[in-house]
Amino acid sequence: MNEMTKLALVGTANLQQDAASLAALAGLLPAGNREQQLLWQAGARAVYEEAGQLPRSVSLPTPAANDSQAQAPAALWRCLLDTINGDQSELGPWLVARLQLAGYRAPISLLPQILAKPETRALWQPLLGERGRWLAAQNPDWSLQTETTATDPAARLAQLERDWQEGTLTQRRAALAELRRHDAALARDWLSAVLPKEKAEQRLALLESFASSISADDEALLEGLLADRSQAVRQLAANLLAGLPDSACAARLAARADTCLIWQGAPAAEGAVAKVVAWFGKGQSGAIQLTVNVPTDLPKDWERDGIVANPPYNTGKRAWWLQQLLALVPPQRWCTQSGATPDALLPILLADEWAEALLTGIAEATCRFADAAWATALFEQGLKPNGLGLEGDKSAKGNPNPLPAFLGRLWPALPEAAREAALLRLIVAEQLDAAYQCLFKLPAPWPASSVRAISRVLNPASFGEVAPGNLDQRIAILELAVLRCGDDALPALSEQVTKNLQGIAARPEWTYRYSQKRAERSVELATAKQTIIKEIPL
Amino acid sequence: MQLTEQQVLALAPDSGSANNGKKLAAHKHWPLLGRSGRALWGECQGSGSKPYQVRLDIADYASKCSCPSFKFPCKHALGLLLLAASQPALLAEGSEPEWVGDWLDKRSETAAKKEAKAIAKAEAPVDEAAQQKRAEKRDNRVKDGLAAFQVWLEDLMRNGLARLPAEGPAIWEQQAARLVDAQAGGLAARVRVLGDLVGSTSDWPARLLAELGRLALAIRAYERIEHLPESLQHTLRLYLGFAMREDEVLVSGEALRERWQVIGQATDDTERVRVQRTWLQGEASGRHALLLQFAVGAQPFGASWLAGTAFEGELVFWPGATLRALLKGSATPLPSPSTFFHAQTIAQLLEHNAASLANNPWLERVPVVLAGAIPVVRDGIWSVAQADGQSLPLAVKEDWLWLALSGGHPADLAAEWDGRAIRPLGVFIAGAYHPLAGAKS
Repeated sequence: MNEMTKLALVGTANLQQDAASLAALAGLLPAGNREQQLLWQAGARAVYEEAGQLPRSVSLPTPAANDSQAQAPAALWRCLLDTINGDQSELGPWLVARLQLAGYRAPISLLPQILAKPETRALWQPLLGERGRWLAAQNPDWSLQTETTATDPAARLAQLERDWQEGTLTQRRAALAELRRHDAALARDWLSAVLPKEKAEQRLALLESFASSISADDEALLEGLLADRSQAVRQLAANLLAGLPDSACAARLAARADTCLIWQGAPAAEGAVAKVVAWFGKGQSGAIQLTVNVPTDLPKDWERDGIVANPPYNTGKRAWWLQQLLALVPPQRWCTQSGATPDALLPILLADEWAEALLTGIAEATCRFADAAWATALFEQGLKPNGLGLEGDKSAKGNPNPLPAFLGRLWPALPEAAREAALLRLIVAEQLDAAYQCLFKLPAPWPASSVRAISRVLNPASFGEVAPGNLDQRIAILELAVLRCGDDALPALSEQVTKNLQGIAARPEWTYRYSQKRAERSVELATAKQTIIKEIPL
Repeated sequence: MQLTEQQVLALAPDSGSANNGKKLAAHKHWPLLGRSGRALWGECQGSGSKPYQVRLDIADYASKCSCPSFKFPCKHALGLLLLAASQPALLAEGSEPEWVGDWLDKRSETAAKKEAKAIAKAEAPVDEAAQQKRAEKRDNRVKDGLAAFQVWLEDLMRNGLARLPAEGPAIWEQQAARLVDAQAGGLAARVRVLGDLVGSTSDWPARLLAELGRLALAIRAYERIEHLPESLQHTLRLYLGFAMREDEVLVSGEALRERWQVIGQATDDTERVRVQRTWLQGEASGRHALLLQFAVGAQPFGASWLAGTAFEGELVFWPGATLRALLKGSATPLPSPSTFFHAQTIAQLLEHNAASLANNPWLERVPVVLAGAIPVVRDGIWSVAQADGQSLPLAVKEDWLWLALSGGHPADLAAEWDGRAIRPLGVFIAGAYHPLAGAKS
């Protein structure tokens, strides 16, 4: 700080020494009191310094390399900006994939917005081009995920080990998952070495990263974890073990389940008389009987194998235990034990006093073990209007039907060929939440037949009569259809969505306004998608 | 003349209009469309029964629409412009319907009438004595106001600047109000700004002192204004805030007819008023000009100038060492240029700045077109450099758009230099103009 500024800060009243004036200015200023002199000198000096300013020297950066790919067509830039900003972000992944296929890259003027947010940065990474990567390198905040740089396996292993020993939890999970892909045994050794020292949350997180690649070799490790201090870890280990068909745990569970559910099937046809009886087809149906025995107190070894003792609200203790046990046993077992198909067994299960627990447990097991036959049978049952079926007094107990809640999860277990038809039946049966869940899992682009069928079922006429609460689910399904359908199906769908909107907008009641907003959004998405298809024909 | 969508959206008074305009830019909303050499028109089907008639003058983008909106341009005009930008084939050449032709004729009539009125006023016999008396009275008022302000400044020097951060901006507002009462509005604006300067950066005492010093020099100069050369007198009066009125300038200012390129535009938003600076550069002469517009609150500016366009017209300049000018008559649009015409090096800019300061010590900023400018960021500090490694600091905190557009390659940049830093306004990349004035400072 120079003398003049110091003098001004402190004040001429407090500092007696005047600041020396610049040689160039000396004598040019008129006479005046100290304050005037100070002001005029400051002003003159400001002009003097500004006029004499010199530039600084700086080293220039290396320029970006030239891009070979063309930028996305200019007509789409507004659309792209909406997608990047979040107004129409659902279109993002589809748009990026399409641009990539057509060989375009992101427009340069939109690069700062793309790079500013981590989500868009990750999504648009393949489209950045040389300019985008150069720009990201200029800002330390914008780090791009680089692919594995070390191709040499030994170096990679060393890097993984470093991450494993020293990284954060996320890094350790990633390192473990990657090692597991290459060398499962080594990964297992690392994990078992570390488990005794870790806290419960870490143990759970690390075990979870193993969950997708469990094999029979891991049995020893998991058996050890059944004795873990943390209940969550014990549960996870038990669930994983139950998924291994040959493990000792699975065998124990199966044995226990056998004691609980005793099937008395029709005797095998032996002897001439029995054969004759069998020819006449008598006595086959209804010959299978089920006895359910659930212990009154939970045995210790059950708990050790992952059955939780305390039931949630509104479920009985023993029903809860039965339910959990059944969920861990492949439902195929019941077919082999009783010698009948799931369709035949289902009425027997429904008629039993433990029907709700039985169904819930077997449905869980079907989802876990992806049993197609049981899935088909349960799905059919779930679609029926009063799914607990024929015995009116049983349903009069007030127990809600558990099966509809499982419809969404049973659907992936169905055989491929039956899935589309099942989906449409879900929609027709008004199970729209389950339908939405299943549709979500259906990968884009959807087959044209499905789209046609969906639009036929959710036609504008039906929109007119539906109450506002149910409208939202339909709008959601149609919006998902707009996002995921193929290029050819879009115009017709777009028209339908517009008509639906007009129908809703025509309803004056305020309760329809929220649905109207959602419908407007679907129309906007459809229009945007159509514009994109027009500009980037594939 | 072809406009880009970006430029059209720059005309929108707020983002709501821009969005509504975008929604209307589809063919299905416009049952009638057409264009001629001097206008665009269309009929837009709104929610009412009759469609709205929208007319647009191509020369200065003034629009008139029969909708009851208070915004200019309204969303229908924006939609029409966007449609013209994205699908020009839809607007077929044709003869103007009478509602378009009538409006255009009336406009040119009004412009001609205004000019005639200005000339008539200037030639009318003027009451010399009364004018003299008014001028004297104003002079005295200003002198008194400035004297009072000088006393306050000296007090400030006596007591020291150190106590200012604790006192807040109220004292500056008060002084500014007194200066406004004394009819020295320009000076008042400078003083008001100083309230924000106190305590804002680490070198605020030096900067504040420099500003106060310049104010004091101006006050001293005004005391002996009769002894100053004529050009400096005009400059000083401009600085203090009694500029010549527009109609006087139209008649007596220096006129120059040229092909002008709009090199950049900057808008400053203060709480009282929005100031829009549009910088022009003559193609042949290389001379710079400044068009100043003011608007209060959400009101639109009077005329719409788009950066990156060019027109031919006559400009009249204010007297004194200033670049401020006014358009006389109407402007003929020219095809959009693909490059700047007179670019300079950094050394030339600083020379030019020094020469300008010699003529006008109270100079606020000069426009410049830097040849082959490259943005450089190092450890979060931004500067603009040229190929020889000479650089100047940037006034904005960051400008990623410019960095992305340039890719490290040199490109001509139009900017403002305020004595300390460069404020980028626009850059030509591959023959297309990209405005940069939206960066945060």
